[in-house]
Amino acid sequence: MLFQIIRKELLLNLVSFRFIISTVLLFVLIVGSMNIMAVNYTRRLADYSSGVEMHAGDIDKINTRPMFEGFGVTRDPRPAMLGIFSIGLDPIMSRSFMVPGYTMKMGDQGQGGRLFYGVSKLVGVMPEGSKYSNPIFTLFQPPDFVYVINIVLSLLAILFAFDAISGEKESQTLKLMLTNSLPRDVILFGKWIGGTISILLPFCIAFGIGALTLLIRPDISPAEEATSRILVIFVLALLYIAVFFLIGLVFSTFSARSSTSLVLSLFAWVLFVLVIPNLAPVISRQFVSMKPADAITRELERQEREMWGDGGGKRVRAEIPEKVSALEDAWLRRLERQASLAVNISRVSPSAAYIYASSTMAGTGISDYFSARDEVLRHRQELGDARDKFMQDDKSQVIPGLYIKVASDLVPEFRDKRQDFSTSLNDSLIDLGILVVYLIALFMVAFLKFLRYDIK
Amino acid sequence: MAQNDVLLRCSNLTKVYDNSVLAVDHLNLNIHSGEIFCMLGANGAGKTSTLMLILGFSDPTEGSVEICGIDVNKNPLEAKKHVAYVSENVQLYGNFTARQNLDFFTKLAGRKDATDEDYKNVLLRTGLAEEAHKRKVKGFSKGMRQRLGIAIAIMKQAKLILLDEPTSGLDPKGGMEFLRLIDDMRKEGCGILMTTHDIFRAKEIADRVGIMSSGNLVRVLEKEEVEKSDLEDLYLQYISQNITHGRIVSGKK
Ligand SMILES: Nc1ncnc2c1ncn2[C@@H]1O[C@H](COP(=O)(O)OP(=O)(O)OP(=O)(O)O)[C@@H](O)[C@H]1O
Ligand SMILES: [Mg+2]
Repeated sequence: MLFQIIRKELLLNLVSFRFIISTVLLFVLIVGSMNIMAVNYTRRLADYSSGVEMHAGDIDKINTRPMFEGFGVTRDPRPAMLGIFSIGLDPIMSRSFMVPGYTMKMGDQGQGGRLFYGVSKLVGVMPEGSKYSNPIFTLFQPPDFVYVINIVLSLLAILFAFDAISGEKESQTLKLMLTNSLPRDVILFGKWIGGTISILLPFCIAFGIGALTLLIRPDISPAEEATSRILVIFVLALLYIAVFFLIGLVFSTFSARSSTSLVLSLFAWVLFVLVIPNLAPVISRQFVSMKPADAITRELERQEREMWGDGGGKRVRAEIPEKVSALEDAWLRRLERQASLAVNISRVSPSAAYIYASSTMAGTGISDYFSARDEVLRHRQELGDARDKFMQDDKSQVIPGLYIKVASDLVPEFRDKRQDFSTSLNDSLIDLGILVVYLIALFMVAFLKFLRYDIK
Repeated sequence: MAQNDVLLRCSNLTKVYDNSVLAVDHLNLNIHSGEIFCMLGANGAGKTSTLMLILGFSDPTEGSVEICGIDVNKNPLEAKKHVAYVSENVQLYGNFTARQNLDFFTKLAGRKDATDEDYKNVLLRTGLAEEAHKRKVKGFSKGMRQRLGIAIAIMKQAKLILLDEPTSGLDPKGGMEFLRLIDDMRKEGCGILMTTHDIFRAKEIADRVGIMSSGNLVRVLEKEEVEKSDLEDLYLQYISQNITHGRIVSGKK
């Protein structure tokens, strides 16, 4: 019986207009987006390589002591290969950043109230413009694989499901089915399984072909642990599509008419995909308000200037580090709170949960962003230490202006360490769990509703 | 099976809808094997409501329905094995051919033994043999769909057949052919309950005729009476006594 219904569902879908349209759309979008993003990735990889090459020479150009004291090092984080699937926050994370010499440690020369730059976490480390902006805003944009799934596939899933029950009622076939010795749950299960297969099957094939085209591209070499990460990204997409199919199915049991079901499902789609993820940061800003980062910087500048007038460099060096960490750490904690509140609010929507989990698995998610930021700060510390060590060892420092040669091996390399697979998986478990909970809850609602559905 | 002969037994069957409309009012009705029972009645008399109760699609407010001795509300899945239903306006799956529709519903009916020969025969009998494989049902005329509906009912090989206004909207020839099909089923021992507005057809084919008004059979005519009486007069007489569009009852259960 169940098999018959699944079979019927598949056969009917296979010959339907919407199946043909959506299969074509799905192939074009998935295979297309993977390849466009692959081209995009190779371009960014080329930028990265040339950046590394160019900036490696920076040290060699330094030949005087003052130049060395003030030298800046520009670093280039490597773009994430799996940005092909979910670009996420990678555009920010992989942007080159410069560590100016004067921000490495608290220097010796007065900097007009800017000595605190040396211990600041907000000044000088991140590229201008992206300075610790709330990362959520950047998460919801580019047309990568995850975007296609999030927007288009969810819509297609709804279009496959919205008339599952109400449509059968309209065509009176629901009545006719139930004149047989057939429990209702079998019909629901059959329609669910058959319908889900009808949309997941072309998706799987498109995904397979897309992945294959990536494999045979000569310009892409797979990143570490890429296979297992892609597998999880694939499973997340399956779950997400299944959730939206169920949203359509639920609304098909809420109404006697398929047109009403469609309107209700589309409303839910707009709410989940568009409204909630975009509203969450706005709401979280209401609860956790913050001054702009520049205000903190200006405040520190002001305080430092006061100290210069009253006690001079001595006082600055004694008190500024504490002041900086008090003000800045509080600000950064608040930023993290604002971000995590936004994340948690938006998790009401399966769409947001899907994006969080997928970007985390691609290594371009929020936790990657914060850990990359910490890595940058750590690297600056490292550079400061190296500089101090060099200055101490350099006996010639008593003669100002002496020409010097900095050995490049004294300057530590930047290792852009990304989270490993198990950390990423761990971080995305909540969101994976949310999708599973959605799946179960929606099915239960559909089930309970359908048991009492008026089939007449 | 205790009462081999009685395929359908409605006892005190009553339905009050949520909006307090009394659609079926203490209806008692038996259908025997080998008979055609025609149910006449004005719009809103409660004919379709009665069929829905028999099929267990709505719960009776009072009373019970037995199909082949099995209580529909207590054991719906078992009872439904013995009943086939053709709705007022058969729709089916528009994107399937007649044969695909027939195939699906026959399998749902639990008939795994149906052979290609069986399908061919039924399609021939219902005059769909030529179109069965070629055209999708969405291109079918109303008469063709109606015949496909009856083909599905035939394939089920159920004892009790329920037909809701099967001939409405069919041309005279189509109507005649339809009745012939029903007649064949009677000969095979089925019991048929058919609602209709077509007094002349009812007179032609029915073994018994019931006139329904306000949810109850106000008059049941046996075969001899059907032949003798002027059914149209009788019908109008009963109908004019009760202007029915369902009665509103207060103090519903
Ligand atoms: N689901 C429902 N909810 C409330 N009232 C209903 C419902 N279905 C039918 N009714 C009412 O019950 C009464 C009987 O309707 P029913 O459809 O059984 O009549 P009918 O004899 O089949 O009429 P017709 O000849 O027009 O098909 C009508 O007054 C109708 O409005
Ligand atoms: Mg009716």
